[in-house]
Amino acid sequence: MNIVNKISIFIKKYYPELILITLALLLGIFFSWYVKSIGMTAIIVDQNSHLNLSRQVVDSMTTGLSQIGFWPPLLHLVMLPFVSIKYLYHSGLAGAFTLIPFLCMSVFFLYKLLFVFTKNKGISFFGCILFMLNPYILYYSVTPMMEILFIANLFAVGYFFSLWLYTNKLKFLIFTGLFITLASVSRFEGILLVPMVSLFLILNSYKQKKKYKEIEALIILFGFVASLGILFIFMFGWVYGNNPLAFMNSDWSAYAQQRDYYLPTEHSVFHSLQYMLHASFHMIGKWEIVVGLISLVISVFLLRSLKFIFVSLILSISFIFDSLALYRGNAIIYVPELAPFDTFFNERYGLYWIGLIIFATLVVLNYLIVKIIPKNKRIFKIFLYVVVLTPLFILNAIFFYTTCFINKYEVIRMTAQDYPTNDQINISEKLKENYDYGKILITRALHDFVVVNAGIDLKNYVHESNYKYYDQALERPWLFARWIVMYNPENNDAGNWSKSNEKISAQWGNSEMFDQYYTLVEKNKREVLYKVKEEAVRDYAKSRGLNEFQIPSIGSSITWWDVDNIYQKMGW
Amino acid sequence: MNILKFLNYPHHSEAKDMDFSHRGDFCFLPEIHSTRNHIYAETVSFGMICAVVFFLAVFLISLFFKTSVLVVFSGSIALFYFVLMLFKLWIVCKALTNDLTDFTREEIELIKDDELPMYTILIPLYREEQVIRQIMKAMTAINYPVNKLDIIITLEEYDYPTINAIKKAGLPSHFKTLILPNVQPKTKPKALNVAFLKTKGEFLVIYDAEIIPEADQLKKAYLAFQKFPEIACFQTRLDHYNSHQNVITKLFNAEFSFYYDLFLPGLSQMGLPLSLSGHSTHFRKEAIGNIGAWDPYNVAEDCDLGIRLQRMGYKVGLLNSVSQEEATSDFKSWIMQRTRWMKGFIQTSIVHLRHPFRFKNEIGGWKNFIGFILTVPGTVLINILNLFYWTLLILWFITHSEIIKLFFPDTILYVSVVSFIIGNLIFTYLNLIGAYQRKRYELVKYSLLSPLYWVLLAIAGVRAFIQIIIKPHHWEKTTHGKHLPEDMHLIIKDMTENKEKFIPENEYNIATFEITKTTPYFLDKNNYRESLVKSMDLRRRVISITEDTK
Repeated sequence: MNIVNKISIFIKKYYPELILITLALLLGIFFSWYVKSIGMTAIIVDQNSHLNLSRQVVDSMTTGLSQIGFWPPLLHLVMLPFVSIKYLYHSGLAGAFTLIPFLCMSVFFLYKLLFVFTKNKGISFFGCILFMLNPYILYYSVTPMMEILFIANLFAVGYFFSLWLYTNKLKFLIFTGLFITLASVSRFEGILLVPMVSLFLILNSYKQKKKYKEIEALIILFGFVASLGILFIFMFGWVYGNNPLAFMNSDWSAYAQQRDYYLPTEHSVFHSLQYMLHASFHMIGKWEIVVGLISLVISVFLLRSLKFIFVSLILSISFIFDSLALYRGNAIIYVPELAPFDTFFNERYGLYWIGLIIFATLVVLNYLIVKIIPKNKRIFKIFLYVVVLTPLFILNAIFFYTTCFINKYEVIRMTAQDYPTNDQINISEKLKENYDYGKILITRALHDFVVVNAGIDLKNYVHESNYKYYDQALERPWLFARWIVMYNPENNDAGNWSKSNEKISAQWGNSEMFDQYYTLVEKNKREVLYKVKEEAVRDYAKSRGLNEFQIPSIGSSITWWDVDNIYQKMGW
Repeated sequence: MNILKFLNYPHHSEAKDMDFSHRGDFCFLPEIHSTRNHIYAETVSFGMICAVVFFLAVFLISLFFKTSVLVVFSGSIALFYFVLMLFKLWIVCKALTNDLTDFTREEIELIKDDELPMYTILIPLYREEQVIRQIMKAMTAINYPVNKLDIIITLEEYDYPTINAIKKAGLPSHFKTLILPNVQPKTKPKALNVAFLKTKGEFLVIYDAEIIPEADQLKKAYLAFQKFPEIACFQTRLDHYNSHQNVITKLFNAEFSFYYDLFLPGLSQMGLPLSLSGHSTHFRKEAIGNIGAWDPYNVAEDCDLGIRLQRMGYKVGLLNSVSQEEATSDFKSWIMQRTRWMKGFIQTSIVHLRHPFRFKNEIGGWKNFIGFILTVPGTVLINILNLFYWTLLILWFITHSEIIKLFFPDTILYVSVVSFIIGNLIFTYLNLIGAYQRKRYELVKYSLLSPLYWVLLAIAGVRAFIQIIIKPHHWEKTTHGKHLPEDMHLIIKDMTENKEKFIPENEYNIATFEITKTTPYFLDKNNYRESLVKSMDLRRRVISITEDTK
């Protein structure tokens, strides 16, 4: 069989998948351009953080894995090839290059999952169209965020687990575990899949009257792969943060960050669910959610299928996890109609369970139509499909058009809260203009935009991810940092968490000694930029008998030093 | 000396045909294809050229990247690890799409006895008094016409315990014993070569003393040979009947599950050279004759034979039939057995790489050549390197030495860490899958201890490396029968060592043991004969139990 025949057979067999992937690809390309054209590629704090965390791996004083941060690392790893290209990094387009394939992957697995339950190519195809018509799915597929990465892996988990439920083939369980690991390193929500799917595995095996030893073996085989993501997160925390749970309780954890905010959902089940639902209304659409939830309830009673329930629960994992996080105060969501009113924050948490809404709606609709219409009334069946699905399509199309082209992602603009501020733009521009050489001391996590926008290689910064270098520079900045960016200590708008973690400002912001060695280059309400006074440092060196040619802050040729012996080299 | 001697072939010893009349050491091969002598000018010249090329490459790369030679050296090792990891993964992926040759019960039942050819079973025994009855029972259970079976048991003339045990057991008439001439080397392949000259079968198979093959294995093999005339040899799957005995046997079993169910099928699917097992491998007798039979000096004669078959253009297939064997159950025996295997791998590598380019052409090109390098010498090398790296890792954790750190700059560290962590995880996991696929569910959790098992492998690798220098032909005997109860050993010891007490008045035969009552066993020193009968009854029950586990 020649290659042309092989291709033609492949196309005939997989044409729906191929059409969907092509559509996703085209939409992804178009939206990369569109989102860039309206200036929204990197307007959320997290987008800039992700770009920096990824770039740091290859461009830093301390390159390597240590730089990927305490967030789930998958995005930072998969973005590496693109973020290494300067233009893609500074423009934020590295996100689009990385994530469009994951948009295709999510569409592919959603189609496969729907097909497993409906055995209907048309309705599975339609489900993917609804998915791609969600404006926020497209937005988060072309900007450096973790959303589509998690969703794609979640769909794969649902698909492979449903295959295992139907076939009992070990390979599908292994794939389920593998994608749970990938989901865990995409977003923390994925971690909850490990105990959840383990429980389903036990229940299903028990139902099939498998013996204890076999269930134990299955749990080990599944858990071994599924837990690798968590294991990685623990190990990373342990190695680089001296605490396996650093992602949960370090100074930079979500819980610590939320202390500065109003937490309406903390310790309230009702409010947690309420905020989640409202966020979902904004992200997926109110009517879509209502139809989806009704379908879910109907299908549970109508289908009476454990398989359907298991897969539905898997697809709802983010809703469960985030509601729990809201309740515990580890996360916050703000929506304009609820306190503190007129603002958005983390509303995107409402987007992750879009798969469940589509899945439940279409599975129940398909079930009803198949049940109601006799097999020989094919035309009538098609007619009914069109009648039922058209409103759904129109509803989603309107939501899509309004959000993308009328409001131009108003919700995202509101959640960005005017980020980047003029102050940040101002400081980054000044740094770009004046930078000559030497290291820039900065608390990167609080000034991500400055780092991205200044256009200076990250290896010229000393930031908190450089660990020992940061600590050393913080002790006597004038010896190591030629430039310093920090919060304006007079700014009272910053929260306590930010202020306490902005160690440069906290330690040196109001220090007279600091002023001896640094000249103010730019100051605005939020931030300040300093440059070292070379003469003062030389005097300092002379007074202590130091070798000034070994002092990094005034030596243009010193781009790297050994933390352990730099003082010795200086003659300290 | 010609420094490119390894390029000159054939060797002068190949001028003569294979000499099956040779009785000095029963080595029928030209000396260049045997490990009687390890060091030849070819080996030395090839080794030197390899070393020079390797170190020159390391030096040039270090110059190019402006880094130290040691860094490049550690980098090349890391790369080797990485390549081996990918290779094994690739092989396993291929295994998933390869079904072993198999036949249904109906197909087997359709065979008429008349059409079956003479089938030779070679059973080389040495100090196997513990398991004589087991092998006899297993052989008599084989579903093949007795008049078409040519069963040859080889015995060393001074091995009184085994000879005595056989006498007491009473051999059925179709079993033949062959007392081996008392000449060096005292190895299993020499025994096979002696016996080979006496074989009558069209096909032959070797069963070790402790083997229990599936009853229809010979018929399956016959059908397979009929169906695939181009295949000269069929390897069956091996399993252990004492896999539950202790942690070592459990891990051994998990390793075999991986090897026979995933690794060999993958190699076979890829058409890469297979190293055979020492028993339960079925051959066309003609093929064995054509390649000069076994190398009596090679302590992994099975591996050597497999490679030699493939060099001579024969194909090897895999047959879906299980042979149960005894897994070595104590640390000392395990290490000894594994050392022997590893030493045999080294010998096989030496002998086949004497003329590397010729070997490359004969084995089927570069792909197969690299496959051989990665699976035979590569297996030994990786085990020795493992020990070195684990030691280095432990030292680093204890000392955080900067010297160790110097060998592993970022890139090399990542490749090493990925190979080490991911590699260990993957291969541990493959062992889990292997155990699960064989439905040995209870062994799955023990397979998690595979990395500890690899430490033992590493020790065996180092031991083999030392032995190849100081005791190259020494055959470390594996003791069988350790799965039997302690008190059973006492009885067998007595009955084989104290001839005066235990020579029975009438010879026992198999039937005697079948009808013995299953009274509880007790050791009555005053009534040895009764104790003996009872012990045999216990033995019968042990065999029944082991068969139940199949």
